[in-house]
Amino acid sequence: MSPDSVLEAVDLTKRFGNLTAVDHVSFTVKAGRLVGFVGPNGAGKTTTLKMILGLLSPDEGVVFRFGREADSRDLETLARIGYVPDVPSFPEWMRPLEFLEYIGGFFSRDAETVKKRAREMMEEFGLERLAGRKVEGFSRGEKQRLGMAQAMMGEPELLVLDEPTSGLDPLGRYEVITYMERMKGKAALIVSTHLLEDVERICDDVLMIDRGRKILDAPLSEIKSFREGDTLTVEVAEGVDRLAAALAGMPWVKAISPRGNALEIMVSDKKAAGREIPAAVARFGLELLRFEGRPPSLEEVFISLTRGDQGEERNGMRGGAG
Amino acid sequence: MRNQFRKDLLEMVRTYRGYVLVGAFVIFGVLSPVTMKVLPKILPESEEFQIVFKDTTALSAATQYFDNVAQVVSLIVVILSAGAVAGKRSTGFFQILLTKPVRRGEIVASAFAAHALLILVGLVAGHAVFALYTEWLFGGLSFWGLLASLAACAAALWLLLALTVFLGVVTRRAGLAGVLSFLGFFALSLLLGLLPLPWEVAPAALFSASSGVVAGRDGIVVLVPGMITATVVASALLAASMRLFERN
Ligand SMILES: Nc1ncnc2c1ncn2[C@@H]1O[C@H](COP(=O)(O)OP(=O)(O)OP(=O)(O)O)[C@@H](O)[C@H]1O
Ligand SMILES: [Mg+2]
Repeated sequence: MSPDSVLEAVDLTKRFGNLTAVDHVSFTVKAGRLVGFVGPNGAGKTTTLKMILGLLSPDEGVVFRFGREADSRDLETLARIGYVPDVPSFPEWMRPLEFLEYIGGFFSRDAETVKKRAREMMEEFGLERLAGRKVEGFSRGEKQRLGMAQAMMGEPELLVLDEPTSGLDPLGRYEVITYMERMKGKAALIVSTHLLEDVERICDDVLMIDRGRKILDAPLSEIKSFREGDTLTVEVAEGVDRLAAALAGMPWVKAISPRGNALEIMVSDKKAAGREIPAAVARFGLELLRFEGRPPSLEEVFISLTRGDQGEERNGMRGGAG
Repeated sequence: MRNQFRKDLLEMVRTYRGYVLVGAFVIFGVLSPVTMKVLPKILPESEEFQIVFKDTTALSAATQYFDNVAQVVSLIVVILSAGAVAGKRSTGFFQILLTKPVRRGEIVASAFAAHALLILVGLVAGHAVFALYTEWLFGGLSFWGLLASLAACAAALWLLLALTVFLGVVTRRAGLAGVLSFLGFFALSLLLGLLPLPWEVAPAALFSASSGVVAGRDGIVVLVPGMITATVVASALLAASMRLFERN
């Protein structure tokens, strides 16, 4: 494995009875990177993360953490990892500062050091306001923040977050994303989510799985450039129907969806489209208001990949995984 | 170990679970001698009752106390400790805990130790008030007998605790572990009874044998075989629980 990878999973496989929840999935998390781990419900994200953490043992495959094969008795390695489960919970009778100090006690024997770190984390994750309350009755967002604070107690080099934004309102999601951005400066992260837009803004790499199989593993920049221009938008002042009818017969058009006076056109040959669409507009004597190609959102990549009709492209993208 | 143990102990206090057990011990410690003293006075003057309760002594108070410990307090021990490890594994908190730099065996050991200490505190409190009231109402208790019975009850209840923790780790279900261990504890004693061994080796016999020892009727030695059995089996169960929990 390369020296800068903090985590490497090789051929991870987990079966539950007849169901293969994770099917020979391999990937690497490099130091300082944020990996968005994306997939629909039931894809096998949580199962994969639990195998990484040693909470589940894989049926096949191995996990290397910081170059060492994963072993739940390897406390040195565990001390370098922080984890927030998909549904974080805490002893309900504890107060947040108390909980953080308890967690800190696993990392340091010096009470003063632990206290100081716990107070810093309270501040970092906006928990001071909740200091006087017991964890019992914390909201989803408050639990998520306490979850992240405890994960950072041991100053980890790798952070594993399972669906940190699920069940949060837009403001709560925005907060969590901001925290992740800050944590990124301190540790490598692997963050699972089914909301692509959550990681799209902050992740460096995208790892996508569906029904237990890896379908994409590449830097975000590569995914975007690869697909740039696949969707073109053309807007005219009037006569959009005539234009649509004319374009529908073109060999490079894959799909057309009208949006008011505009057409969103998925194309297979960007160059041909760039020549022929303006030509068609001119031929009908229409007034061209807008003509642009835009990078597809991760959402669109996701949907087109999970529909399972683009096998060659998937393989092409894997090449860039590094 | 210390960090986890401190949290487990604190949990007993802060969730008030600890008070339930200590409270039960104290209540039976007081009630057993008091009822034995007043029962003959408040019962109807029929022949039957007078025969049974005519001469209540320290021994009858002790029998009453240790019966209560065997039947009610042990049930409370099982209920309190059934959820110590079982059923928690899938909670978000345990998933966090299991990824911290702490040996998994220590998590089990510390849950056992915290409950064992609670049992000891309860026993000391229960024995203390039992001794005070009985000595005051009847007199005639053996000091060394009291101490020996304290150790005997601790050994028996720790075995019950170890069995509950073990079954919790095996079945992963708190309720099931509770029911099975309560049955198992007495089944173990019955099984030992089937063997050509004296009844004293059975851990359940520790409770009934304690009253004679406390009242000075029997020597302390009658408690020794049961205590050896209880300690050996409890240690084995605890070691097995720690191993099993380490291994997922
Ligand atoms: N303990 C288990 N026993 C049986 N099946 C399981 C178990 N855990 C997970 N599964 C199944 O494995 C598959 C993958 O589940 P997993 O929780 O990993 O998905 P996920 O990608 O995290 O989904 P979500 O987005 O809903 O959290 C699902 O079909 C799930 O039902
Ligand atoms: Mg999940």
